[in-house]
Amino acid sequence: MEYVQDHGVSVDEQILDLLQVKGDFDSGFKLLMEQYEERLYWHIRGLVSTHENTNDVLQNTLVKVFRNIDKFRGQSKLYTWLYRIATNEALTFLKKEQRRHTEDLDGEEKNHLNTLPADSSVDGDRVWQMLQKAIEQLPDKQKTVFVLRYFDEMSYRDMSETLKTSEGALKASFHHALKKVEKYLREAEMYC
Amino acid sequence: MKNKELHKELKEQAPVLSKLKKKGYKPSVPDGYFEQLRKEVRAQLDAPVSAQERPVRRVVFSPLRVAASAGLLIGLSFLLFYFLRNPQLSKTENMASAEEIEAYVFSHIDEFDEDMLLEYYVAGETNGKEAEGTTQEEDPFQSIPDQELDEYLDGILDDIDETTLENLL
Repeated sequence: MEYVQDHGVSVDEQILDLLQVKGDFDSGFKLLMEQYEERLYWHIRGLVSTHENTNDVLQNTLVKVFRNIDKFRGQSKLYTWLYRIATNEALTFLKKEQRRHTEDLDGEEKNHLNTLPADSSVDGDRVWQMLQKAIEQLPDKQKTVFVLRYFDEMSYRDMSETLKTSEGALKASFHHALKKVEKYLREAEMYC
Repeated sequence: MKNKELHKELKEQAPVLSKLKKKGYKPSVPDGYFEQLRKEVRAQLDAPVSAQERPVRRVVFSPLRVAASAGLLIGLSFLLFYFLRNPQLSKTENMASAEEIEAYVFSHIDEFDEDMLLEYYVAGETNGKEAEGTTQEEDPFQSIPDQELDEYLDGILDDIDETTLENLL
């Protein structure tokens, strides 16, 4: 994780100083959003797939972050604390979606992946759609580890802090997830 | 790819994913989305917490609901007034007579134990209601058919072991 330094003070420290010490909410809000809104967006999008779902989860995440920032005591990095909240929100959202899907009695397929364009002419969207289908088959834990590592490029140490899991277990999870996703893509003939 | 360790992992374990990662495929995001996101998050934070977390439940006073409530209230008031004016209604009208109770006891005699029968007898004496043809000095089991009484006592004797019986004697 890279930190932008300003006179030897990391951006995370500046954010916390503005929000917790100086009480300058406007500046703290702006700085945190500049630093994290896009990263959290792509992290959440890796887990919930569509833009609409990502928007809902991201808004909930950010509202929770700003409402609880005064309770953050620096026992972990601000960065991993934010990712933990975002991950929890995304997984809660997915569980609700799964429940709603299984309770749906009309038998109509409402998997959110099927709401993606099936014949997109944009390569990026098509590849993303295929990747999401591969990720969706993973259990929640592997899915989270895969997204944090593959998309967010998070180190195992930070992942360990974010998910409260040992680095060894995370490496094993990522290895299993890689194998499964790779196999899915090969079977789907996604050779690029 | 900034993370060299990840690059090595992907190259060794997942070549397809490695190629996709290098090409950097990302889906599209609507133009101006992040500016709009800031406004929406800010609006949610500025809204009062109580208004968001505890949505106000609107009570709708439809004419039908008002009429039904008024009817129910009038009906309950009438019933209350009627019972207060006629307190005897709630007392003895539906109670069985002594004769009916006695007939019930004799027809279900097998279901009562000795203690219950004694209680029944004593209660009858206390209330000054002597059983028909029975006086205070007479055997309380006189009115019970002998055969039924013998069967009942035989049953009790069968349940008692010999040692207990000797101790009782």
